[in-house]
Amino acid sequence: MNADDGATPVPTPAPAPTPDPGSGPARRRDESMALLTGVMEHPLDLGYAAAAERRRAGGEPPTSAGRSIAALLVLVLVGLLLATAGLQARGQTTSRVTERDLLVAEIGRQDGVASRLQQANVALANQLETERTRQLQQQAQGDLADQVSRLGLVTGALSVAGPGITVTVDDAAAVAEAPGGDARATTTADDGRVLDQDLQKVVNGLWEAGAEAVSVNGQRLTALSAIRSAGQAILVDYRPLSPPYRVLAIGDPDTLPARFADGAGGRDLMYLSDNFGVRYDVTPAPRLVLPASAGLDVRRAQPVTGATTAQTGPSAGSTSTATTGPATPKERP
Amino acid sequence: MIPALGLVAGIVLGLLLQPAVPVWAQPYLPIAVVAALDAVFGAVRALLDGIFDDKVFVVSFLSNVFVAAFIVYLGDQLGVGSQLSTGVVVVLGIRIFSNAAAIRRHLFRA
Repeated sequence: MNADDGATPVPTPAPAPTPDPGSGPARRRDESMALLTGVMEHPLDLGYAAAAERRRAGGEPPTSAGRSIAALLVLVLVGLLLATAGLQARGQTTSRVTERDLLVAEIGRQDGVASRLQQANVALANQLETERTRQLQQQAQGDLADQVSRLGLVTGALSVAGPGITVTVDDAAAVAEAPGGDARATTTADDGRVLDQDLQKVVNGLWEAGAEAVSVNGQRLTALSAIRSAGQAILVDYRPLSPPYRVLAIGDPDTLPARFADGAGGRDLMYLSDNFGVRYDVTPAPRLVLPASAGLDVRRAQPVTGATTAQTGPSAGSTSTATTGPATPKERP
Repeated sequence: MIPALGLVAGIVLGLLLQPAVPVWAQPYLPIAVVAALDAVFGAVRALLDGIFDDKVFVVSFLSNVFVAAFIVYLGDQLGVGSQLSTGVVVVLGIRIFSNAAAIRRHLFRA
């Protein structure tokens, strides 16, 4: 260790015979900084000196050949470490992508959990509805059962199946092609985006044209549904949707398409298509199945007195064909 | 010569394989690099001093990396991870500089 006079950057006047600082017989003036001086004066691992001393004592040369496999492996490991750290620092490695993938996977997983729960909820609600209908019919209150299911269809508490039309609305091609935030840069591209107002007009046009039940991307609309926007996403009942927007409407297959096309909703769509390139498509469908609304809740209830019925909110359940007259729910913008 | 080839082989291997660092290990990577560099510079200096020893090198490398990572881990658990990382980097940095200076004196006599 002391064979090389240049080895220690700070020459020490200490007469300590051992390399351990501060353990000499005389108290060093910088003893309180033993840690720092130790780091400064003995940067080399003391083990090297000790090993060399042992070798000398054993009559061997003070240095080993430096060819052992272990040392080589460690050096390979060091190189690996350096390369990995370098890649990591330059962001070339997939770590950031990995992190993002983890988040994406987590979101997907939780989405799956949520939709499973939702399905379970719908199934349970269906079961509840079946039971209720059975109970009412057993109690010879068939009128009541009919009333419940009729109201359920109108309010959106029951899933509905029947003929109708599918209105597909999508952003203009320019918007769809532009990736995410870049579309905001050009106003022309942004003009082609379907807004919540447009969707509101379409839905209101469908109600006006005689639709009996309407859903947007699988979200059944009720009298309390809201179509609004948050940022660039359109929310229906606080659930974000992504284009294309598929609006399903159940109604008279003979009159609904024509009345919709002639009404305000159809005119509005045509205007959007002509001026902003918004793409839309109206196709009649022989059978559509609309789910029950998941957002309905009991808001008001009153006790049953005699034949008077309780006015309760939810009664989701069995799929049946809508036979009721046109509903007139109000849309909250 | 052969040890240098080992180092180069490791670097090439890393560049080719591009091993994905697991997320939990990422905070320890920079510290591990500094600790490894310290071990390597110490080894080079020992070699030039004529007192190099394989076993000491391997053990010092492993213990350096382990202790450095452990300190950072401990700091993370205690909420002072960045401070302890700084401490490790300062101490090892001083050692690296001192050893590098000794190596420089050996090689260039200056």
